[in-house]
Amino acid sequence: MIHALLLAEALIASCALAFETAAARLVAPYAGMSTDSWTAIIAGFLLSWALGNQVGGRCSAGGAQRSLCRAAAAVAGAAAMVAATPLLLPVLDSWLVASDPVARWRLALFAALPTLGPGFLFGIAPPLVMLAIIRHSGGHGAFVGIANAAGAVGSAAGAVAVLWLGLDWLGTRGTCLAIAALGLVTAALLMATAFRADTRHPA
Amino acid sequence: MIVALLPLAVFLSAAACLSVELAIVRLGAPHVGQSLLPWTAAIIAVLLGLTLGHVLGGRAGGPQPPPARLLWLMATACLSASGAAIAMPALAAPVANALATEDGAGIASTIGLAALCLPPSIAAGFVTPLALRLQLALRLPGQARQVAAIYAASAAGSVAGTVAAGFWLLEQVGAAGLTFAAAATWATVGLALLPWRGRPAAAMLRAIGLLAPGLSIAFLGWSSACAIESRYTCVRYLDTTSPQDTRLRFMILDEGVHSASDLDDPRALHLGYAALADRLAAMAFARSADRQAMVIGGGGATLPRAWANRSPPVSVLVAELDPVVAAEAATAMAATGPALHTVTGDGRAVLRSQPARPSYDVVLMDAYRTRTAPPHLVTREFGALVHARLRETGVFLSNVIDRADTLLLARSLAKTLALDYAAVEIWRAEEAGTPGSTNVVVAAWKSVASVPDAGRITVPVSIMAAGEPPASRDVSWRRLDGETGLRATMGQCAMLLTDDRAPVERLLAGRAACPSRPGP
Repeated sequence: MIHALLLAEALIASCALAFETAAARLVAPYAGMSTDSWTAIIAGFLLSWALGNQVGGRCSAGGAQRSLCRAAAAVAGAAAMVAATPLLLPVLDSWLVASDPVARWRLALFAALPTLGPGFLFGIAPPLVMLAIIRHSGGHGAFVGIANAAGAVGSAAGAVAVLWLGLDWLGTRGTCLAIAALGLVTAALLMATAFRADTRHPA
Repeated sequence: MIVALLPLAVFLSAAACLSVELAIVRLGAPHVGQSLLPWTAAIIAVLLGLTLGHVLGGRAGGPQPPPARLLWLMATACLSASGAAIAMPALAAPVANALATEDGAGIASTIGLAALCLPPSIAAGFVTPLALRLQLALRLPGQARQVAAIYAASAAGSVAGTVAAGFWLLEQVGAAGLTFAAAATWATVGLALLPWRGRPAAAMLRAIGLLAPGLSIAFLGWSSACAIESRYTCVRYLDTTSPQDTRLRFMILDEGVHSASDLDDPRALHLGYAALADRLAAMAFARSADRQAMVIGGGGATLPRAWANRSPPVSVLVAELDPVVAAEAATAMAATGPALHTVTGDGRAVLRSQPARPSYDVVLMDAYRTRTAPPHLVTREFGALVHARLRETGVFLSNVIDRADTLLLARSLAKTLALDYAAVEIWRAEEAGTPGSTNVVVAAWKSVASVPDAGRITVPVSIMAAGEPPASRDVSWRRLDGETGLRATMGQCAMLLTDDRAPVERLLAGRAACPSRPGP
């Protein structure tokens, strides 16, 4: 079970950084590729991720099974939002950017907004998964480190896969669909792990 | 007390780590540029370092060490990260030069430069698992919230590092200063965590031992190659005398020459692609009474300056992403005048801000970073935005830096623009048949009647060999066959470039995005 949790930790991080990287190309036709747009994407995504982390830590009550089910639901929700992002951008552009395409605040807001939902929902899962790992490993320090490392490896794999394969072969929309599919696989993995979890112990 | 400070330590360490990731790309930019490869190498190096650090941080001190031991390890990790980061600016140039190769690709240099941020990243990777283990070791209530706080602090620190570096530190203190700031952050955290009350002498020795080597390297070896640094680029200048005995200034952005301006003669164009673009643009200007042009990617603004100084002058709007480069163009490259107007912003955004009616005779796309065109400026959708703002006799010119042996990007751009423009041509210098990169000009005309009759245009340029003064020479540009002919001779197919899919780096690497077909 702990291996499945470590894999889930890596996959969540992979989806998160893959989406963050793809978002830069997604918004470029509308907001350009400037420090403003890059920073808005990173800041929007990571701040909502941090908020998700906090919320995730607070919804760990109710046992391991329920915690992991919540993590699965959050990741599935994030996957759905990632899939919908390319469809959302033209609408957002007409509301926010089209009337003044060089206004910096409009461009920054446009770049940040699509990342908030996926960032928040993806961010809920990692603390829940980490708490499950801590419980199942008996708080063994090595597993804490490996769980952190799984997240870092997943992040690197996600970014590199999008930059060198996804955007080249699948395009931006196809890449978002691939990230969403990976998110759904991760959610299924978490659900499967949840039903194998010992429900007698809190996560 | 210490529990409350742990998220702060994680926050600061994450901020420093992101700063180092940005800094190494910028420290290496004067040597290898800022293309996809250096960015990927930096991301991998930092995340690989963090991974190793996380694994080691989870094991350090044994299975159940006391809290004091974990604190000592955290302090050591932060001080080690600081010591390794301090040395990075001084080591960047020697590493890049030692690994430089003749092919110009700079893969070994890029990897060597990225490897410089591996040691601080490994050390920083210890911090998060040690903080989590310390929380567990203290056996305090509210464990779930504490774990969540560490995660959130890490993410928030990454945001703080990115924002501070991108918006403030890079322009204020440059890439080296940014690295020193990250090192100072780690040093501060490390010094704060050391057990000064219990073992002050040991703490002092540990701090000196970990920081001194890096400080020594920094003091002995660091110097900046840049005249000025912006949030995007390192700006340098090279002054020389032109073959016509006028003052010639090159503007170098990161690793490449972007502009060559004649300070005494604003109409003089010394680079081949600029001289050709000027000839093609002149045909469009000749058919217009109210001459207007837009240039996307100003750089040193050599061509806009030349057009604004024509007789009669052309009213030129320049879109330049980098405000520092725009200011340098005006001051150092003498690109000023009543007919020259510069707007700071992304070229596509500035274009969209212009009324969608035919008002320009020429639109020139000349936006580059490290020989790579931004993908959103070579797509069909971007071409359509230009088309809507181009007069019937106008021309859309794109300066494309491409591989000489495949011309995949230029051909793909021509194939894409041919869907909406009446006539599209690829112009290439005749002697540029050797492997390596070459400038190609893609000209898309709105009307067939405007297309020039000539299949060859010869322009005078200034050629500068390494270590020698510029020499005057005529260069002939030839209009190439259509895509069918080019595919037959070059053996790979061009592709349509859209906002959804424009694999510029892949095409520049000479890898077609569709099945190759051997030539006859």
